[in-house]
Amino acid sequence: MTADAISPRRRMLAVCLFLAALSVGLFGWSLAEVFSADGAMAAMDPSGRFAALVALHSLAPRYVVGLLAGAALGLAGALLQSVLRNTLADPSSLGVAAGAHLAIVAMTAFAPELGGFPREGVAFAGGLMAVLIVLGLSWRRAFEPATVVVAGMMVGLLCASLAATLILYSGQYLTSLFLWGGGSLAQQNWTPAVDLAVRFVPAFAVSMLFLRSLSLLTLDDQGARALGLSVAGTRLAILVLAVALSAAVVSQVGVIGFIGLAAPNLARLMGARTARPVLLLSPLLGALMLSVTDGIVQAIDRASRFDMPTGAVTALFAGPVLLWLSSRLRAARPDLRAEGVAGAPRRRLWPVVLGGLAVSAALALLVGRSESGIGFDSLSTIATLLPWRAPRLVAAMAGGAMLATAGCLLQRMTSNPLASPEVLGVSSSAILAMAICVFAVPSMGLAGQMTAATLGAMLGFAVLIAAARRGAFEGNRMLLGGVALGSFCGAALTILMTRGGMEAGMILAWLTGATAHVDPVIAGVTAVLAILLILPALVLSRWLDLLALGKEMPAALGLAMTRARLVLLALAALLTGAAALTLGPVSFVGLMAPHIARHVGAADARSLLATSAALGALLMGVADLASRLAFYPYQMPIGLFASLIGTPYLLYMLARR
Amino acid sequence: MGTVEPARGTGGAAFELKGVTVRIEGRPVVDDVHLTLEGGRVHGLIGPNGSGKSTLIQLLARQIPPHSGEVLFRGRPVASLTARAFAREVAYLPQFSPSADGLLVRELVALGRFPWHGALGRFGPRDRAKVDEAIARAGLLHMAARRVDTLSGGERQRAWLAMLLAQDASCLLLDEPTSALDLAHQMDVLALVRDLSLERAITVVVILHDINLAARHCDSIVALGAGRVVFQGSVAQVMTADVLQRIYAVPMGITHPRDLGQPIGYPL
Amino acid sequence: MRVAAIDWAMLETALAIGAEVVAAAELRLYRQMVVEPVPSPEIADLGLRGSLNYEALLRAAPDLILSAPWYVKYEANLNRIAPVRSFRIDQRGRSPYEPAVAAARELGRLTGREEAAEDLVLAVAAEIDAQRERVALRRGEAFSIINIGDPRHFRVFGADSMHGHVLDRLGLRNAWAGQTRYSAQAPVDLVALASAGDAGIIIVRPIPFDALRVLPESPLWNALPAVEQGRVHVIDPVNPFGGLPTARRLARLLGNALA
Repeated sequence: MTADAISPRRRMLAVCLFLAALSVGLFGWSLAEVFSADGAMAAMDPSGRFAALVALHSLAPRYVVGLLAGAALGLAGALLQSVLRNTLADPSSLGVAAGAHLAIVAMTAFAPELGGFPREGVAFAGGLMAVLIVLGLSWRRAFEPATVVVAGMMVGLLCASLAATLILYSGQYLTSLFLWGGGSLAQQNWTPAVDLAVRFVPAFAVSMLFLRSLSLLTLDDQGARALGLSVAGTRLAILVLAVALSAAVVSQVGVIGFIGLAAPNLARLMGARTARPVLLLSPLLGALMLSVTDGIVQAIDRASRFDMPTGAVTALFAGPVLLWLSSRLRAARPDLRAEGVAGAPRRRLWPVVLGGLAVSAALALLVGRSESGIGFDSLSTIATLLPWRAPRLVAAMAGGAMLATAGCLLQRMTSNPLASPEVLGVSSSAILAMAICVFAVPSMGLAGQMTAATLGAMLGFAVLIAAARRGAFEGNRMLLGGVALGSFCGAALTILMTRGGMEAGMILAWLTGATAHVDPVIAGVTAVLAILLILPALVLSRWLDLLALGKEMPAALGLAMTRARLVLLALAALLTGAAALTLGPVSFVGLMAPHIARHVGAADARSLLATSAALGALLMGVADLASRLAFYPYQMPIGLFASLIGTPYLLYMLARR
Repeated sequence: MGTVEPARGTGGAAFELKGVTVRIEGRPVVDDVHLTLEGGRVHGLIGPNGSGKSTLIQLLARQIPPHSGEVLFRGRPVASLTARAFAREVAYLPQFSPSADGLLVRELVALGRFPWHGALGRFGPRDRAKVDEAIARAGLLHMAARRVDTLSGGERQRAWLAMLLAQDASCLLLDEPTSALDLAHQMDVLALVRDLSLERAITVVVILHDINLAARHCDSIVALGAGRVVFQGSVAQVMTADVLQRIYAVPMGITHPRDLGQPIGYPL
Repeated sequence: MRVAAIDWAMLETALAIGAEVVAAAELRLYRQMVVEPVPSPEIADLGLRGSLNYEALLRAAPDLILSAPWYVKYEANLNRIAPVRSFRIDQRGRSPYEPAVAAARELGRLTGREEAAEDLVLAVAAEIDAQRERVALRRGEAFSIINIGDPRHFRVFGADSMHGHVLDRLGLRNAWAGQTRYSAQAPVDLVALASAGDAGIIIVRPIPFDALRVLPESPLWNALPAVEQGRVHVIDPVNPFGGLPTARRLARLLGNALA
């Protein structure tokens, strides 16, 4: 009772005033620094003329852009959260930012002479596309919060990986895109500030018009419809508005994480319950939070003389906040409908799957491309090339099988058809550890980097376990823990990458997988790991059969749930980490293979696991061949290639009733 | 309603609750309950919404621990048994049976053998025999090779019951097994439960919404209200206007239809 | 002696001494970013430096592979195809010129082209001296050599870059001599350019389209002393991590721009 002694309204006021004071204070500090007698500019600018220009055309617009971008993101977050009834939704978690980023990278790579206004249009199209894919993926699960976030994470990863590939293939020309992906608020004129204001003000007015509809949408759809609201139309309109807002921010200052997630939640934490105060308070809090963060970032920059990307710094906070929010999510009602893809009639699969595996392996080993085009190589060529093709094929197939097994484990454990090894965050932490190692010791060899990556994966795994343990390894809590870990590592990686240089190129190459560099030793190790890790999964398949029976049944049948989940999660994380070392962090094979396996008729856990593993190997075998030949001599990242083949099929399967 | 032999040579009480309290968000849902459930009988658990029926059965099923008090199974704290040992004795069917996701009836029923063979043990002839027997007993022989998610509601419920049978436990805990079924299938499922209890001296605790259904298929009734035991006794003792009024907090009447061997309660 | 080059600095050196280069990495981008010496069309492209195509390398059948410390983790694999020599040219806090000279001589020795290598060393020194004469009038003037990242950020080349070194050798002064780290690959806010005072600005292409559009309208950019006084020069792309041929190209481009 004592906590309620301070009224929510006064608490709100106190928090806002504190943040406002901090924000203004930091702005004042940066001004004072420019004009100070021993500042960097004092020597060449005794009259203070340039300092005045800097204050007027750099610091002031930067402050205003910080406020406006924060407000726009806060509003976008509030709109998305209420329209999806999902406190975890924001432009980053729905993939909007990543989609917009990818679209702009693609535009810069393919049509650089555009720029200016089309850039915002392109960002909007990319963002909308991403969010539609995310919603399409989670539609069958009725946009359940954790599912939406998991789908958003995967679409975000895919977009980031595509963007990395584009940057890599077009070379240093796009170094600016690193900066931009990190979301820097640095300014040198008022144009972005004016542009943002011109967009934010009408968007805010329009969202106020939607206020009533939004209140109705907090009921469930049927309730809202019964009260006369056109649910689908309203939802789409608000969604488009929110995407437009975040696209405007993305095209002006780049990707800025966390604000859209945190501002509405902070508003609610401060006592805003209904749509109206949330919608009013979120932009205000977003503006203050971003400007305070940027003020602190600038202060650090002044000390370190290195321009840190504010957007990536805010994004660092997103992971922990997501974790905290997920612990407050009410457990979803048990879903009684069949999950995911409807199973097909039982068939004898082994002949087909093994046959496909053999054919793809043979093609990957025997087909090559030379000056005369694609075709079977001569025997002598094959004899020379076999020691090179075989290891990468073995590693790719072993990795595919491991990812497929991990995906199968996760989907079964969480009863979430979108669970995929990528969202565990283990591979992201592996890459981050390696990136730190590359920056610290640039000349470290492959073995050293692999060791660092392995240590990183283990550390990430420990963090994941610690996060998921509080929820007794319950499905969604586990997935959200992984998403949180992944987004933290991603933000840290972005900060490192904005430093650019050869190191960034090397890390970028890692992000897209290292299959090209597999030697017989790595291939052997990967194959042995695959066998050592997939076998226990098969042996423990009875646990999976039971875990598919929901929350209560497995325990009622005598399964020690927490221990079983811990063991299976550990297995999934090990499988993921081992595969990510050669395949790179994204491939979607872990997501696709189990669905295809079910689609072709595998149902009980053991045949599902075995079929998935075989299909994962098959997919990766095909991807290895295709990635090698498509743009010879340039090689596509194999995991990305697999994702691009698989994503449309996956969407089709998940959308099918 | 003659007393049946105690379950498999154990003493009288299958379950005992001693001062058990469970709180959800600080509010007691089960409030200092003392209760003894005799072995080998069918106990109907009734009460209005929010009276703590499901929480009580989850306590018995060891799905949740009590905040205070003790739950004993055959005189031993339920927590003292290993998960599998407990599952060999007590089988539980939650209110919402999950989708069996592409499994065949036979495969689903076979999962009931997990407490016996565990994660690594062999699925031997004895397990196979138990599965066959359970399928036959549940009347599912002709659909053993059908997929569970293609069955009707009544058939699906019987498939789950068959799984519980294959589990070969001495005690069944059923949370509203009839809630999604039409009248004919309600009778069908409860008759099966009842027959099993008689044949194998199995203890059954079943939550039922319909007092008349409970009166017809149970040996004794436990009525809950606001987390406490309002009444416990035989069917005959419950089926009086007085007691029913106490349980449901609305005026109730009792009638004795000539073509039915038991009274019918109805709100006035 | 058939030579394959993974590293661009060694590729340009090998081309410059007339070694028989049979394969090199990322030739598409090399033609845009490094430009000279021009590789002949017969040279096989090995794909991305980060994702080498070993099959293409095998088909080229080199006798020697030229690498750099960046690619140390690939060396085990490269060694399976041919002997690998790794050359360290760029290093934190040290001018890359002397290492580039040593690398050229070593490469000449390895490929039996000692004389060509010696000629290259002399030719580059001569070119630098010639350009030094051309810009003699500007002796002692300070310049920032930058690469524009986006309209708000740039990279600056410090004393430990080939750019900084050549600037020095031309008798000019690098405005960032004292304050950069590691070829200044870290991006810096545009405002920081002001701290270089009156120094002129040399922009190395490519310039992003955004910057071309935004910078001329920027009050801050226009207020920089160098911009106000028309002392901004733009030169064609130069390999940021180059060898001796890069030094020669830089000297010539700078001479053309400033003379």
